Amino acid sequence: MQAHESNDLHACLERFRDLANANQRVCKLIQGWRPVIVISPTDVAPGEDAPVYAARVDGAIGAWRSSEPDSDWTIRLSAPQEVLRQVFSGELNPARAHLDGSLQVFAEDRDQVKLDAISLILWGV
Amino acid sequence: MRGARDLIQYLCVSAGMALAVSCFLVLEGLFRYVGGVQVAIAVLVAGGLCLGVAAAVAELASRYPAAPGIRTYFKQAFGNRASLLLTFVYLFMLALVAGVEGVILARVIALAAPQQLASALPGALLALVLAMNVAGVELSRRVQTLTTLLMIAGVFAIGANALLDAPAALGAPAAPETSLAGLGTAVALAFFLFVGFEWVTPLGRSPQAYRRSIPWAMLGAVVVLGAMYALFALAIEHSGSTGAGHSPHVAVARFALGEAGIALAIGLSVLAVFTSLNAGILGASRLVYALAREEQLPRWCARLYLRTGAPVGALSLIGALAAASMALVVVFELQLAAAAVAAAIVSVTYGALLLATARLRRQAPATTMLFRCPIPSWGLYAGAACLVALGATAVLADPLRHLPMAIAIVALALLAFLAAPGRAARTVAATR
Repeated sequence: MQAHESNDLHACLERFRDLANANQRVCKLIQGWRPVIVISPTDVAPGEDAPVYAARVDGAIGAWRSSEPDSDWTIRLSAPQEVLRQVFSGELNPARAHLDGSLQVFAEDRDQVKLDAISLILWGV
Repeated sequence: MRGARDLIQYLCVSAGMALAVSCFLVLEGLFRYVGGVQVAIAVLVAGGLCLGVAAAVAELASRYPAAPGIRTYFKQAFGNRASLLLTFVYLFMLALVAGVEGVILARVIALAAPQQLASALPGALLALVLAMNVAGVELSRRVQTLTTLLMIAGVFAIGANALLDAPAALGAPAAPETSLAGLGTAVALAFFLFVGFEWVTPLGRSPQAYRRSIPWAMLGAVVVLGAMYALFALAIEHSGSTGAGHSPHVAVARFALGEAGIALAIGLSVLAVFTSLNAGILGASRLVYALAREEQLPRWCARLYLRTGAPVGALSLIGALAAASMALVVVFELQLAAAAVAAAIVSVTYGALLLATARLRRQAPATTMLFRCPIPSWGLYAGAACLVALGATAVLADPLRHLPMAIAIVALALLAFLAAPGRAARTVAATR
């Protein structure tokens, strides 16, 4: 995995956070929703540690950190970096990626729908 | 410790999906084709075949962890069109089962309450489940686990009590003569008892869950269900409840525990209908929502209630289908035929899952896999053929009643398929 890809993904996640927190409909959707969203890319070069990005949601999406906070309520997304970047920049429909098996989402049904709905509200994809 | 807790929770989710009050109707219906111990044998044979299906589904789930079940597996193995058609057939089958559940509940409640209340209760329960979903109220895993354990313990207790503590009843209807064809039909119909055990596969909390917990949970759920229904079949025979129609479990409970047994059986029935409706509507609505987001269903099916994030469009569609199914089954007394057609659809769907496993092994051999089904590919092909044949047997058991309904379900699925805006979409290759 290339370092710039990792930086790209982090920057993309930050842009997603800013966009989501500035959107009134998204704010209404995530009101009272308090999971931790954990993103873990799957395409890691042999010998390298897999990067992890985690953000706590509590009225708004918090800053993306590179350590996994201790929480029982997590939504875990795993996919290759490029898929994650496309999903969090509105280029790829997350529901379609999930149905195709290229994006793995480990979460309760309700949390999956809420996360997908953010993409639908922001980009209509 | 956490591993054991997770395993039990997954097992209860898996078994809870399959536990439904209409299963007792089907169990009693099997006595039309075979008698006594052979009913228990038919249940165990169907359970044995479902064990193979569970192992194959576990392999598919380990390839695509947390993916939305059959839609993904079939899409990767057979392409978008076949997957879409099979998924629509499965969704209509679920609506059919909701209808049967409602009718059986009404019949059971009518044993202890005024007819008007009994008739209104299934609709009220459906409305309650839909309202809960819209309001964002979901049963926690802990509550789901407890209710499922309670139901399993209750059914085992009633069955064991009837067999062990009470002398056999006299005057039960004569059992039909044993024949291989009768046994085959009974096995085919017994698939209904296991409907939905595989719905646990999208619910894994981590990739590691697909290595052991989810595969073993599905296998465990099939074993528990098989043992429970086989025992209950023996209890139905022993208590002379083979002519009890829609509520053999109430008859067995009365035989074993007297008047207290009736209250227990009715309580378990309400719980079973509530949990199976809730799980079915929750799962089906999420699948409809995902299909709408994939542009395979109209966009309004992906409409959300922002305050709770509930997919109100999908819930409306599923609720309307379930209500229509309840009305049709009540008016035309279709409960047994509907259950038989559902069993046939499940049997064919499980056959397709075996085929998908074998096909994906050939198309996209995975070097490392979290779980590998021990059945060789030729065994999967043979199993698939066997399950499709059993599906045909279930339909042909009473062709005049079952065949039109099976054709109607396939025709509805075909219409939905032809109307799907994105049915021509290309599939992302499994190997990529």
